[in-house]
Amino acid sequence: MRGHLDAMVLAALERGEAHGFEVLRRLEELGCGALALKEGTLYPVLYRLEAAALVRGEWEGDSAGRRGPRRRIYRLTDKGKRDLARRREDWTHFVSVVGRILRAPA
Amino acid sequence: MMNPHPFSDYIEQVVGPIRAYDTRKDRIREELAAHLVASTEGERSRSGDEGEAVERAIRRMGEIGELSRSLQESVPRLERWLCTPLPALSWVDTVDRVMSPRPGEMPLRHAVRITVGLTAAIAAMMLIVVPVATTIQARPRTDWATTLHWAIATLMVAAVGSLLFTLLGAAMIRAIQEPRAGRLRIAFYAVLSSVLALHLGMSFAWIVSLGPRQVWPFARSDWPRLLAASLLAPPLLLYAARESIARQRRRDPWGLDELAR
Repeated sequence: MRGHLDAMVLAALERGEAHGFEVLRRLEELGCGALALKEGTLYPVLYRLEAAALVRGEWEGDSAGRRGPRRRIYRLTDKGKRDLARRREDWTHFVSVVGRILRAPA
Repeated sequence: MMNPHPFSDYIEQVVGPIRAYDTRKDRIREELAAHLVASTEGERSRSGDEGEAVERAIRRMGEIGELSRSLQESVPRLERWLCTPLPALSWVDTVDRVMSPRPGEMPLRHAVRITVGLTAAIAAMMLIVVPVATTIQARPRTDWATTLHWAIATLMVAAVGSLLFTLLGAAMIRAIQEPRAGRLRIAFYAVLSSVLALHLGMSFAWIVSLGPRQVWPFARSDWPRLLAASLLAPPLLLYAARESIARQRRRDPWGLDELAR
């Protein structure tokens, strides 16, 4: 699971920009509740992706009209979109290969 | 919107041990606080119990040590290495504590206190260094009147510089602590520090030129040095201000007040 979290976060951000909590909500929704993530693990992933320029984070502006701690809004970069496409291809290939092996008759 | 204080202990236990720049750690703190606030609101709408909602939100975030380790791994290696605590540098905290404003101390009074202390320290150092250097040289290059005049010029410039830079540092700290409105002020103070450094250097030369020798002490090669010093002033002022804020925060284990504005 952990190895694929980067790709899943990129996929969640493909739907549009979001702050950390919203990314997590999308992952839960897309995973139909089957994902049992410790919520804190999302942030190292986001920081890693940001350092690799796959996502870009910006603090939300005052216009949000909220009080309290600011949220950081993440969006997918062009590099992130290309990376996600490559990861999807890799995943499809992996699933098809493993699927063929597992479905092979004894 | 609920206040993030119930989470401050948890966040500090997670973020405190991370070896990273304070700016990065502050960012992580604020982001975790925002997450926990949102998470707690969701939990509260389900259970209705505030205390239970906070507990569940914290539990959902994960175990402290594990989260701390994974956050540490997201910090670049060089930054990790640079932020490894050095016990030998603990004296910096002592100096910073002495030089920081005391509770309730006005900026001008603080600046005067620092100026008096610093000028006295420089004067004491001169009283030792100048005679020793002159004795070692055996044949002094300059006469005592000129040496005295240089010493006075140094003390005057150090005193004025210390006063103005302390005031500027306090203003810069206030500007940094207002991230939503302070950018223009930060830029203004940065430029001002550069201009100030340039003027202090020129003032020193001017005071010296009034001395017994009546000559302008700067050679042509000194001007680029003065310019370099003036260009170094803004990053140094910014660094000192940020460090002061970070050290203050370490002493008052992370005030979440500013996040709750």
